[in-house]
Amino acid sequence: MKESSKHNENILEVRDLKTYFNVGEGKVVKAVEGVNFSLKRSKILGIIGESGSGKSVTSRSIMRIVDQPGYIAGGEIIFEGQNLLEIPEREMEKIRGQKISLIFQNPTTSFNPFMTMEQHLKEVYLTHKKGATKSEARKRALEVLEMVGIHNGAEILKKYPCEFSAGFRQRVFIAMSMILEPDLLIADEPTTSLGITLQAEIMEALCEAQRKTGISIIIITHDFGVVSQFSDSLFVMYAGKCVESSPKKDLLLKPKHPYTIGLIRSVPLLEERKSKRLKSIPGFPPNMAEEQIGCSFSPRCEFAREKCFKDTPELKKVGEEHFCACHYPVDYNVEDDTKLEG
Amino acid sequence: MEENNIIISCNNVKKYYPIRDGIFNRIKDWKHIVDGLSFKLEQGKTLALVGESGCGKSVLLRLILGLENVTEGEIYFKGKSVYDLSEMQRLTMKSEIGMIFQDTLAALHPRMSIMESLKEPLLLNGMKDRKQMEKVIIDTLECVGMAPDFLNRYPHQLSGGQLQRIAIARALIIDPQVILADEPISALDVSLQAQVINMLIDLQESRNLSILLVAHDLAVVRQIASDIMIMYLGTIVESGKSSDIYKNAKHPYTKVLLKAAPSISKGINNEPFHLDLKVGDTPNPENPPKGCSFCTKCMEATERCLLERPEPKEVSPRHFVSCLYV
Repeated sequence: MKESSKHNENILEVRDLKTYFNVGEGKVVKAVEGVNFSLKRSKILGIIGESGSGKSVTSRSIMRIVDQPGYIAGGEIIFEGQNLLEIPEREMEKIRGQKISLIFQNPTTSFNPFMTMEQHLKEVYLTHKKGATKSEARKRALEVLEMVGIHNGAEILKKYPCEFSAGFRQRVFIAMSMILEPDLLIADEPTTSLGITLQAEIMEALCEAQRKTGISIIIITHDFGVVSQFSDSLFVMYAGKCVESSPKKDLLLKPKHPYTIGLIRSVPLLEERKSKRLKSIPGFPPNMAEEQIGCSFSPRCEFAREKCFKDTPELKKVGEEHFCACHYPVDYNVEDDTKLEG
Repeated sequence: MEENNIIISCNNVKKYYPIRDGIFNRIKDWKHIVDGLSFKLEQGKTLALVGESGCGKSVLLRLILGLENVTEGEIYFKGKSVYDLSEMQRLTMKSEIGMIFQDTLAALHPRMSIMESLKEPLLLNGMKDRKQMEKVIIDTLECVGMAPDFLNRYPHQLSGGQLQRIAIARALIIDPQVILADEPISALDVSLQAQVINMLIDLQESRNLSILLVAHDLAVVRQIASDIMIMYLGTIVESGKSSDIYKNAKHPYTKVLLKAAPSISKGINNEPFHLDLKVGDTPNPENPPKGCSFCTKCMEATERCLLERPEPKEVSPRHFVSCLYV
């Protein structure tokens, strides 16, 4: 009974998060402007958005590692019942790595070329666990390597990062981020710019690690295919705001927000589409340094009406666990354009 | 297939790079980057070359353009061997091929405005009339969906998607018959990807262009290409019409790729990620396997695969597979 209640609790809740950047001359870029979402324990949340939509800034805000001149202007980040924005930096240091860890996009630059894999893995463990011995660290290192599907760990530990392929390095990096048994893992574009097989290799390793440890994961990417295969629920960002969030199937089959619909229409599929041309979203994302009036998607939206240009829509409930920030949610069926079926 | 319909044909093309070592820099060994490729590109068709990074896709494009010389084999452009052409003929050939390079920011000169960058290919093609030149430039920009006020900007002032369009405009401006595109869409965001894909389809239909597209994203390729070649370690393992490849893949590597490619429909059906490959790195082109190039990673490989090199077999009309067990 206790176990099941623990599974339903929210491990992370982000409420009205705002992260701004001072870009000089009194200008402020509102990279993240009121983002709300929650993540249940042992679940995977996918954040989708185009470049510049504030996905990465959101993840960095959760870790509290937003670089100058950026700052968190408001909101709450409740992690395991504790507001991360209120605790002192000392406490935060303990949370980073031990409770929440982050996987970066580029596996090559995440390693020190002069250190062996063993030194890398041990360093993380020994820095955070006070009083741990080296042999404990090594034992744990081998365990996490096993977890991501590396079975000849003892051999791997002796080698240097340059001796591995990019995919393998990313695998070791995933292992490294799991070594302290964190409760939440944030993967920021873990496979972008890698080939198909490498991508599948890494996603497989992540899935395996998730199954074995029950860790909660936030994955950030612009690849619809990856998130829809990997996550339990999805969250779409546009111009620093959340426009739609829901369990995976709802969002993929019956999206409500015109932006989500536009995205799904414009993704090339492995299956045949009904028309040869893709329906692309006209125009470009807004300039974030300018003040936005009304819905930020309205200039590109084919369904926009007068109200859309004046009032900013709030995130409203449109179905069970399905939220959408649109004045006029659209009823759209993916099957109209594609041969996808639920 | 009519012979005069063929724009580019490659016949057993090989490209080896020397590995030098020692104080005299003597050639110690050879890297087999492109190892016996043959294909034909027809007028008005889109042929996609799919493969992982390092399999020799980009090198092949450079060979066709004549930026590098082949080690062995022949490349024909409109029936004439590229390497028999005189200097003059070679220039004419280049004016009929438009190339879109992978890294657009690196492909455009940082100190030249977009106007100057677009003017250069025209000047090299002997256009002298300034007014005509300007008209062509503005028309081409319109073609790729950009306003003329971009002309006075510099590459660093443009976003990735805009640069990509400029790169495409630069390839189109000489009114080529063929476009060689090296990963033209992989660096773009979803909504821009769709715009560029649509643009390529439009251009192809309005100008009867032939496109040789290099890509690693199978979904993108499905949208554009009529024919597909799957490349692995310098050789083509499977080629055919796109419907043959997607619905009726025969080669183990193609099957692995299709299974590994993430997609929305797999997500809807809750299919997990799956990779059917033997663990280990892709073999080094310095020392390729003796038999089938894929044998070190193939789950179905037998001893015969290690020793015998498979020849392409035609399993159905124009669908070729290089595997011993097909």
